[in-house]
Amino acid sequence: MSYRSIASIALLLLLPRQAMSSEPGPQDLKRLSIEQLMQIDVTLAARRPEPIATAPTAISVVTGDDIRRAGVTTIADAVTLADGVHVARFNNGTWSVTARGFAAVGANKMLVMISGGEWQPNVRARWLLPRQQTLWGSVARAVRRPTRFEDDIVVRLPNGLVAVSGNEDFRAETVVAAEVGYRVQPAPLLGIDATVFHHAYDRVRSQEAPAGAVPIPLVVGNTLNGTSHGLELGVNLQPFAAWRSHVAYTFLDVSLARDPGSRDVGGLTTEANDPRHVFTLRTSVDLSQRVELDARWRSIGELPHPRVPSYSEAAARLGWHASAHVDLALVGEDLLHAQHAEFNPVAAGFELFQRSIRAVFTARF
Amino acid sequence: MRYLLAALIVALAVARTWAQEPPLEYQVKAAYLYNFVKFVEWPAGAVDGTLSICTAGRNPFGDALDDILRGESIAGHAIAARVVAAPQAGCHVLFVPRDVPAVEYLRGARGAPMLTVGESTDFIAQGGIINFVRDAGMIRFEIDQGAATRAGLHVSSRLLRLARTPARLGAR
Repeated sequence: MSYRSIASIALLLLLPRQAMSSEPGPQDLKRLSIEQLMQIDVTLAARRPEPIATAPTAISVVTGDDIRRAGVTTIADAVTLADGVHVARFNNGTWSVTARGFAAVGANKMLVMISGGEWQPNVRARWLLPRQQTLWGSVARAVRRPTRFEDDIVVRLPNGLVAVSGNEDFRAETVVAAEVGYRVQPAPLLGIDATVFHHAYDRVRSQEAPAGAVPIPLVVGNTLNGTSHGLELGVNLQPFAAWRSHVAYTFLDVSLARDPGSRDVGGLTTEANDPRHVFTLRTSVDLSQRVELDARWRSIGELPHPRVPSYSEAAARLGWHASAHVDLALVGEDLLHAQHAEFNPVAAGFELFQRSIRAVFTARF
Repeated sequence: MRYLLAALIVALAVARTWAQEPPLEYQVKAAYLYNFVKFVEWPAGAVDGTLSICTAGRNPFGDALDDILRGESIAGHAIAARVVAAPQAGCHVLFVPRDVPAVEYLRGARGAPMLTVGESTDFIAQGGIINFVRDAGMIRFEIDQGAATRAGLHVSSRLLRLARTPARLGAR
């Protein structure tokens, strides 16, 4: 299974198929509402159906239509549409994309890692309760396999001295992730999804100072440990067919510490730069068969180091389906402020993001 | 004896293949059909005794539809599934698989209180009422409310709200 993303990004394809508490068949399918049937991906190879509403894992789905209507043009912007995923832009070509913390210049906890010989067990349970309620829980252990960055990086100062060097003995970072989630659809127009999680990390990457008086080279090590815990809340509201909204809130508390005997001098402040609070709101209105209006709001809490002030930003898109072949759209992003920083307000290589408005013309042949 | 055992194993393996469940797509579509029945009203007297869900030509559902309908009833009517080789008046729901020519069945259903459900691109254009469409791997459906009304069926607003507008109608 994936690492911090065990519970995060919304790829139904990543759903652990082995994780079912029982074998649903036609008898289970018939208990599903039409809304739930609409969420089943029938292209999955597994024969057991798994509606998203009852999946025993934290999941959030971003459809192609959501992406189009949000007016986003990069993958990084598109993944921000998923609950619990935090994107901080460094500049126009670089982002940190994280779920459940550890945003960093080399953010590294997000990919699905498969490591030979490492033990990555994963236990999940699910209870289907009356009135379309699902309660689920899971405990999983995962590892992050070392990369070349840890093995053989050599960073030299301008004068040729080695400032940082890799470590062939760098070991895989580990996490034990426990989470509990609850999902309910009290009415067709309302869906609520909540997850609390606690992750315990060990052997987290550190930067070890040498033993002597000379402060360099720093050597990559495994002497940090830490925890992250938090809450992910998502609410879907669709009072009318033509109007739907999604509200998401994430609370995240990450703490890192040195192991006894650690000589770390950098990892504590470079491995995790995460906001404690992230709030997003997305609303989509069909003004007519051909005109659609979308708005997005996000409030991101303060980042500790490097410190970035909290900020709120808004984006909007007005789309006109002019004909079967032509779409026109007016897209505004980062509308509230002339400019704002997302990861580092001062260092070279990091940009401030400015208000932008653009017109988009799409022709299909 | 060894040969007998081998033959038995082969026979079991073959039987197991035969007993395999139908594709997930048709398990889901079977569940949809059962759901549709709950959101459609037939004119008074149209359902007399058992409510019949008919499948045209061949049965892509395996046992899934029968399993779902077993023991179920709607407004006091038992529900049963059967496969029909030609349009029949006794069908209240008629599902036309995509490789079965729909035109002939739809002609036979015309004017009758029969909920026609298809899964081919031109099913609505040919006069069908509900059509399954794929959307990024998920099964969604479109409803031609006018066609339902012409058949004397009342489709609940909740079902209509979940349906897509058929492309043919949206372009008007």
